[in-house]
Amino acid sequence: MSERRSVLALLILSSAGLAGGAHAQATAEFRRRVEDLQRTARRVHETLQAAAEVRTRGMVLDTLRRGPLNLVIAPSLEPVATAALDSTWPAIERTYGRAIADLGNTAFVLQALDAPEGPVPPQPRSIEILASASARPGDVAISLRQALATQIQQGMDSGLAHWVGGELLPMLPDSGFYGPLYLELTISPWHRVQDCRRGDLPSCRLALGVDGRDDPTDRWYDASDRRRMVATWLPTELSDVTALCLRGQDAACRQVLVGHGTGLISMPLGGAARLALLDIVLQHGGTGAYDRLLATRGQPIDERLAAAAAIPADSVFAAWRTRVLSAQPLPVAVSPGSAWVAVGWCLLLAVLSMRSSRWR
Amino acid sequence: MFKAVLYTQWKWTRLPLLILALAAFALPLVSARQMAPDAEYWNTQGLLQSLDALGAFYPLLAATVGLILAAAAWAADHRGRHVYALSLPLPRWHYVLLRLGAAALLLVVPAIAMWLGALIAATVTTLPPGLHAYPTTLALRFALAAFIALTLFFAVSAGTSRTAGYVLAAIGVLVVAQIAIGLFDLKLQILETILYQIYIWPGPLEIFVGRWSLFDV
Repeated sequence: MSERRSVLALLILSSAGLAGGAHAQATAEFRRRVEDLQRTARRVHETLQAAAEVRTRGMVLDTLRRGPLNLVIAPSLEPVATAALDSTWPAIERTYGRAIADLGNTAFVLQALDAPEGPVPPQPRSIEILASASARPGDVAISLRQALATQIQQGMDSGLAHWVGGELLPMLPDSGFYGPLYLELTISPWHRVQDCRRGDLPSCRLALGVDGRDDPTDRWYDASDRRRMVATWLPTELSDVTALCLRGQDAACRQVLVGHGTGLISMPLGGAARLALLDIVLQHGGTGAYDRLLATRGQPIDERLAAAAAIPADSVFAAWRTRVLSAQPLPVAVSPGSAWVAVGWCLLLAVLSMRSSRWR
Repeated sequence: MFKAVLYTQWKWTRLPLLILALAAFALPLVSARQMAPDAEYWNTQGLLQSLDALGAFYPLLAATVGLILAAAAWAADHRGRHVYALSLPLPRWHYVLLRLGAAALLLVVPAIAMWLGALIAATVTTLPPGLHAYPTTLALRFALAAFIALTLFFAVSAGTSRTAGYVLAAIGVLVVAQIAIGLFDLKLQILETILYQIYIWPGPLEIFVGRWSLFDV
């Protein structure tokens, strides 16, 4: 029924747009036709909305509850949503502590447009999490985690939010998050990152943007980094100053970078590295860690991290570095265990060949 | 006796073996072509991804080497209905060992070709900071994987057609069973479990999976 109405509405819309031919028209005529089109579009929208309401009127909805969270779902999504919530909620609860109370102010709707019952009707003051009726629990869990984390982090103060620069997702052990970070720490061209990889913790602070925010051009990067930045990002800007910079004059490089404002100077390590640092802080701090992080609003970032992790700041950075370096992807090398197992299988298969029944 | 067996197997396989050795020699050089000496960090990540994609060819080549050497080792015996082998004053196990030993020795040819290719590629390539070349490790792994493939296919070829039929039938039964289980919407993954056992340590094909890259962090 609704599809038929949609087609009818589109026909009306098209005929309204085509009526009148292509001859020259006055501005008043154009205005009248635009208003006609707007009125028609409104009618189409109202018709479609009414059709959707007729379809979902009387639809029985389920609500899954965990702590202050209410997750509204179509009944057919119950198994997937329950599995996703069961895998996500403990991490959310552990990570955000008392801040999860903020979730009680809003209803969350797991919206699957292809659910057999149709979409969940609009709910007042709700946030929709889009999913597919055929989605796996793991995929739904990721969307759920992201939506809940985003909502909770609305309460994060601007200083911390600016430094984090992204959403703090409670990590899963098998998320494979640290492998790319190992790569970044290993092959990053910035000298602070390389010093950090070699074990210099003050460099780790600078690379993560915890220190040196007062003068990032100078403290996060050295002369060769600055020249590389200009050569990489502004190679076609052929001003005299740029040319001097590319010839090795550091003062010229500074001038170019400062001239482009703060937008060009980002922290040596990317946002994922900071998220990993926060993840480690929250893991170390255990229950209440996020609450302590928020409670120290206004203090320097390193002190806030130390307070949240309940360990000295240097230990936080050391733990982060150790964790990242431990995530080295398996190289091509074969472990002795694997090699011996392979040899063992070869011997077994050779013995099997010798015992073949062909000549018996 | 071994010399004679080795010579005949070399004669039967020399053409495909040389082609495979050429491929083994060229593959690391193709990897080297992907590398740009002045690659920036952002490019390096992309380079590693493309090297990962290229890495799939190494185990494939190792399996092909094993398959061809194993098939060639038994082809003449199968054609002659094993009359020649039965006419020899040798126990079967001894004859099988001669055939397997000769095939294993011939396997060294593509392995050395890969090692040389990898060494040349590693020498001529200027790597971006943080990356290293693993020519010897790659060649050793290739040789081990090819040896596993050789013994596996050799064992299958050494059996009777009936044995091969049983193996194929068993695989077919498993596939049909998995399809039937899927039709009844049961959450039982027979094939997945078996493949997991085969490809994960201490499974026989564990050496084939994982990263195969000449250049890595």
